[in-house]
Amino acid sequence: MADLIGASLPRPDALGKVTGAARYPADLIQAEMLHLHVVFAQRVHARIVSLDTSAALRYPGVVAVLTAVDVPYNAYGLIEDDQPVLCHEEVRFEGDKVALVVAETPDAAAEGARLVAVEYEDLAAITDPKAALAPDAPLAHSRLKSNVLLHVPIRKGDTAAAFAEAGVVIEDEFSTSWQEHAFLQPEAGIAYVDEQDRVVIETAGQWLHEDRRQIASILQLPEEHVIVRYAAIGGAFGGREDLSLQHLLALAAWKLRRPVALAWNREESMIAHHKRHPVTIRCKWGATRDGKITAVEATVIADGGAYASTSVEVTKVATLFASGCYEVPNISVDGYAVYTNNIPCGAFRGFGAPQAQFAAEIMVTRLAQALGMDPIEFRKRNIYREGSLEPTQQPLPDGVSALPVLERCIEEASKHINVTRAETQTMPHLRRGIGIACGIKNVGYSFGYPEQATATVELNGKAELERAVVRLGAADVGQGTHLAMRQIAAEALGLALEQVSLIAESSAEAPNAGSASASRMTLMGGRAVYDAAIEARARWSANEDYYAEATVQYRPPQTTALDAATGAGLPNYCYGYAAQAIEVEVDTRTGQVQVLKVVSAHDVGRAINRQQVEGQIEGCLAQALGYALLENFQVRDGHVLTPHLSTYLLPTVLDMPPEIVPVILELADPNGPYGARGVAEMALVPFAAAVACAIHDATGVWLKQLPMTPERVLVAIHQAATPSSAAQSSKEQQ
Amino acid sequence: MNPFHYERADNAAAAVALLAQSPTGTFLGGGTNLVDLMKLGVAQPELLVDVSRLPYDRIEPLVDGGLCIGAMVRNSDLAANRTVRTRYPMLAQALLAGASGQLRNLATTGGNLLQRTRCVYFQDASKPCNKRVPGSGCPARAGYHRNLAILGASESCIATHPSDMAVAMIALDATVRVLGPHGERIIPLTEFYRLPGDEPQRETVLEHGDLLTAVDLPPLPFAVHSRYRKVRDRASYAFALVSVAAALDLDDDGTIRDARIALGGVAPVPWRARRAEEMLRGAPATEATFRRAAEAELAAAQPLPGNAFKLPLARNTLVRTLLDLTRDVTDVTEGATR
Repeated sequence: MADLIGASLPRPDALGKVTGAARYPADLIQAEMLHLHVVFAQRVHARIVSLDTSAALRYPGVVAVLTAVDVPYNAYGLIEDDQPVLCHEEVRFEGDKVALVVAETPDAAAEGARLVAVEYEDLAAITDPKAALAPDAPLAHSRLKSNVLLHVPIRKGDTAAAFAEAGVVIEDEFSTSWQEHAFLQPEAGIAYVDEQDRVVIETAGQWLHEDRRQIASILQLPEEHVIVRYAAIGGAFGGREDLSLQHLLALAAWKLRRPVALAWNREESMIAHHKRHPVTIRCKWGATRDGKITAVEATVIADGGAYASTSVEVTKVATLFASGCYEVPNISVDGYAVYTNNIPCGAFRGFGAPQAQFAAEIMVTRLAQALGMDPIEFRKRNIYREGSLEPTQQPLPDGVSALPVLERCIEEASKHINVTRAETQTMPHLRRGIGIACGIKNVGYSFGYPEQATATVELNGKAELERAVVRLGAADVGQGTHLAMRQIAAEALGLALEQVSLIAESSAEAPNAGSASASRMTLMGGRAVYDAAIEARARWSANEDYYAEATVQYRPPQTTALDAATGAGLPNYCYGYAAQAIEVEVDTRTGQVQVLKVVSAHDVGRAINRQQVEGQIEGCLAQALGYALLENFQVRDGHVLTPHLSTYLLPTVLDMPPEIVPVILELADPNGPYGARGVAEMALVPFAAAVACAIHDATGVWLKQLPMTPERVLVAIHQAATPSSAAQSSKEQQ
Repeated sequence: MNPFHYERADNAAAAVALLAQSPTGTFLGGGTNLVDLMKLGVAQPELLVDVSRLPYDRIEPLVDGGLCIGAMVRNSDLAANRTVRTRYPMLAQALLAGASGQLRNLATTGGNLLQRTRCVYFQDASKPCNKRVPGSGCPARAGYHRNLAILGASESCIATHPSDMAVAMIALDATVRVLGPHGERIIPLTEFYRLPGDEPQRETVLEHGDLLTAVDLPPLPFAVHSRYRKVRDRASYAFALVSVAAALDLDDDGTIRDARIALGGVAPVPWRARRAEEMLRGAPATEATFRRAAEAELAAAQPLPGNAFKLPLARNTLVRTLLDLTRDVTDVTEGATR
């Protein structure tokens, strides 16, 4: 019973998932259900002149066509209610929804959707986030005065003075692109009204209670009249944080009082749910001759697309990490989240940190090179330590492990990669290089956003404690959190794993644990489970009822909003720290980059289930590799041109590095259960920059744009070889 | 998907007769491309005549020493065929570089030759496309054309032909056997595909109702030294950015006696590189020669901003492939004399 913490216990759900026995939302659809089909706008920005459903309603099998007038409260959003359920007067991106056809069969619903006649008058569209900042730019939302959703400044020290005194100053611009979550299971679900007149939605998501809150608001029902249940979840990665079709199911079931079903195909999924933000970062870094980074200035512009989603929070995270994981005394960063008529952007594994640190880690490497210093040594001199002040002028939360993580990464890398010199070149056109990068990402919610997790533990037995039931509304999106929670409870109670069961699937049966996102569930949910287990155990010992229970809400140390003028504040209560060493081979004739080896080091505080931690690192690296090199989401004038997995390419197993070395450090977090902190997002944070540094090491050229496709590599190599363009676009003064 | 009729033909003549009566009908082979296009609303045939069970599934030697490949032979079976692997290695390599294992198990030889471009505008029925709706315009030229043509394109269309197999076959001087309403005829593959010009909707010289029954490969002994090299965004299951099929015939002194070269991913058709072949014949097999040949072939290229990288990519890939082939040939020759 002991030694459950850290054990690589097999996942109870694994067998069902590989044999096909697991029931995902689309598997819940039954014969007698009505089927829904969404009428998408397919217009980038337009006024709805008229909407005629009569032909659709006449189509055999069509039961109803719901439009904006059928929605009790026609606005929703994770943070801001700015997205219509069904558009009323205006559509703001091509995936906006204008009608919902309900029919006896999927075919009839699809045919009915084709017969919904919508007349549009196109409006001026804004699809370039930089242009959207201009005062006379067309407005993505006609009712707003500006396209600026957020401007967040961070000011610390005096950057002008610091640049004047700096020994080296480098300035450059970086840009990143959209990324699609591409979870294996596209959005699907069912909904019905139960015998107590509650609307029940069975689907997939990342936060039962937030889905419930938004759906209750849309239907104008008390929250307890809405029940959200999660079936097996086929991946999420932030892509299920926003409502996609859950509220449509609820609306149709509630209006028609019949069971309804909807399963999107891949193309519907791709155009309808939000993406990772494309970000441009213009930045200027300065350092002294003896290797101290003294100043960072940056302008961070994130394309939020047509609706707010979590753009405000993502942009604040990107702004906070514009100076990476380094203590810099003088900082001036401006972050902008911008509305456009592009596809909305929101949460995606890393949540703004990968974009910011793609730029930051490259700049750190270039500063070191400009100073003639080893980039590893340069990092060590500047990296966050216990007590370092953040850009927001407060000390970091305790448990700062950036330096030991880097040191351990280098130590392990030296066993697998020749970190000082790439291996002998096999062919003259195949060049190998090494890249090192570090990363930081908050665990849990930031900037004063309410943060809590609540768990109930119920104990049963006779003379001895025999079994425990844990209730925690935590989504297992594939990361394995349900097993980890049982391991924590069993260890805390001194029970075997088999004696602990978990109820986590329903908002009516499990308390609010917050979202499975921000790498937070092991720390937050796990701590609530641990505290509830300890409290229940104490109550068990104090009575003779053969039963005891405890419900505990865990709240971590309070964070604060950023000061509106300076950004001063306490942004986060916990960070994850990562470092990676990467070896690549670049084919200079084709521009193709093959990642050969990755050493990925992470302080996880405590590995609750070691195998799952390794799985998170390896899986995250696949997504990181796609982000860095391959995934090339195309949006032109607001239109998504790559809505298929045949045109939006994800990495296959053959694209993965032959050698991945996950390195796990266990430097306890002061608040996490058994010291655990999060890891889910961390491998994505430094990866693209590490690959860029390795490409530079191999070829001498810098890639500043993601993804680093063959043509971008070829163009960079060609430009470097052409004397006329040898003068670098970036300014380096010494 | 639109409703359609489905018929399974008992014999080839019946299939041709059936289709001749249906102006929008089409033959169904493996369906790996056609069914996708039907789902997307790009293809809307009212009749599908399933020809996948017609008896054209054999690979047989020809009297002239060549090889006859039935049009219904699956890509995976063709790639695994011993004769193909030993005598036409570039064809086996090209097949295995295409699609995925599951798709190759279904896709037929005839269907592979007739697959449609993967240009994103062609595949999106909500966008203009001269190939799909003649006269509607081509947004690719000013839009997303990274994967599109640098050679042989026209104002009206810059699509690329997606096949790997066809690139190898056109390099091998394959011929196609066609059964039509008026009987059988034989068409060299080099004359089978049409450049888009003003009629990008007409991709081949086939007439409605024509059925591919076989592809014949000539003996071409020096094709034992042949290679197919494909550059793509990911390691499998991706279309070519650029591909090269090449066979070299060298004299003992390293002079090039003959060569067969074709390029994929660069043109609306599998691109036979005749200029490069001419430059090579009689020249020494050196990198400088190969580079000159590549430059000559690509001299007519008209790249766009988003696909200009294909020029150096095609040149470098062609040179690299010819260098590798030279080493292959030389290794064998030296091995024989040792």
